[in-house]
Parts: sequence; structure tokens; C-alpha cells
Amino acid sequence: MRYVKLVSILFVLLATAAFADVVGNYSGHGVNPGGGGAYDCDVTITKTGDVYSVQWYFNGQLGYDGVGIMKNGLFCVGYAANGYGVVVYEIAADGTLNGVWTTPGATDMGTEVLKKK
Amino acid sequence: MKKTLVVLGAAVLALALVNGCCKNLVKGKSTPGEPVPIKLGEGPAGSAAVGGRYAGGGTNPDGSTYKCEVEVKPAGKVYQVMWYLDGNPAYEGMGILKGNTFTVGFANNAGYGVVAYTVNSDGSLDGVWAGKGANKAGSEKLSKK
Repeated sequence: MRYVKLVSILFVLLATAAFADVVGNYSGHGVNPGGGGAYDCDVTITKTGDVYSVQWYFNGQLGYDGVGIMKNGLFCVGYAANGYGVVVYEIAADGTLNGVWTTPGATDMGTEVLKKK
Repeated sequence: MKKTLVVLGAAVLALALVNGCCKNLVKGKSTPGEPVPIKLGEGPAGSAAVGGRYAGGGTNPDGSTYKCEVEVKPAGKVYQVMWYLDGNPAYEGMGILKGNTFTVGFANNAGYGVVAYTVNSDGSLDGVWAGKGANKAGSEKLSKK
């Protein structure tokens, strides 16, 4: 009986990790490609069907709009405003999103860390 | 004895399920022979390779299909991508390679989206994509020309 319990607990824990969702509100901090300055942002992630919608706010104003999908355990987002770009987040065990991003004209990546509010 | 068998059976089933979950979870990082990327932003080192010309096609979220050619050019640590439909440039994109997942944000005058490919060992790309406003993903497969 003890084994069944142990295995059940293990299964629930792993299933939770496998289906961990990124939907929620985040506080973010990023660095531009090439170390060209840092920024703070608030990010909202929602989901409709298979597809995620992402909004970045700067000082309370909507700055970028994005569309995201999950692939290979990574949260992959294309975004646009004036111009466009891509950001790829790794999902940490505590739900923090650790991202790298780039945009046309860049030859390097910026970074962005989003912490759940 | 019967109880032991049930417990054993449950354990084997649970382990099989758990194993399946884990494999899915780390699918992009578990290809034999591929070094596992450890740090963020470590760039193409330790990643699969992408670049050059590809031919392929995909399925739109509504089920209709299309053919395309795609060019991927390294630009420092990132990638420039162009999709051609019937020989004409249709979408441009910027890509990031992380392990063997190649993710591209793309855009044209009509809108934008994201595509994420698994880079296979033969260099072919298996992708899923979504355009802004869609609630369903499309798919795309590309082979090296």
C-alpha cells in the first residue's frame, strides 16, 4: 500500500510538472541585445484553444502584443508592435520564465526574466 | 499474493506513464548524441544546426495545406528567415536556436506569428505555428534542399 501511495504521489507531481501552465500575470526585467540597456515590464499571458496570447506593458501602457505556443517544453512567442521579434522562455520549476529574445537588425539576443505575481 | 501483484502492476503502469511524461517534457533535449544546453543565451554552441534552403509545406489551422520554400541565414547568434510562396517572399522572420528547438517570430504587412520547429538529426524541421488571433495551431515540415 505504501508503494502505491508513493507512486501515486510521484505520478501527480510529474503530471503537474508536465502540464504546468504559463497563464498568469508576471513582473519582468530584461536586458536588450548586446547589453544595450535594461527595462522593466508587466506581462499578461492568457490562453485560447492551443494558442497563448501575451501582452507586455511598460509603465502601465501596452507596449507589445504576442502570440505563443508550447514546443519541447519551451514557451515560444512571436511579438509585434512597431516591428516584430521572437522570444523563447524556459519554464523554471517555480513558474519563472527565463527568456531570450531577438528582433530584426540584431545579431545577438536580449534576456528577459518573468516572475509570477 | 494477489495484493502484491496489483501493487506491482500499478507501479509498472505508473512508471511507464511517468517515463512517457518525462520523455515528452524534455523531448527537445533528449536526442541521443545532442549535447544538452545548460545556460540561457549560450547560442548555437551545443545546439543542432540550422541554415540554408529548405522546401516543404504545412497545414493551416483550418485544415487547408500549402507549399513553401524557406531560407535560413545565420546572423551572429540569431537567424534571419524568409518564407517564399510560389517563389515570392511572403513572410520574414527572426529565429533563435535553443538545443534542438528552432523558434521563429515572423511577420508581413498582414500580421505576425510564431513557429517552433524540432530540428531532426537529418536536418529536417518539424514545426507548429500560430498566427495572431488564431486559437488553433498549424503545422509545417521542411526538408533541406
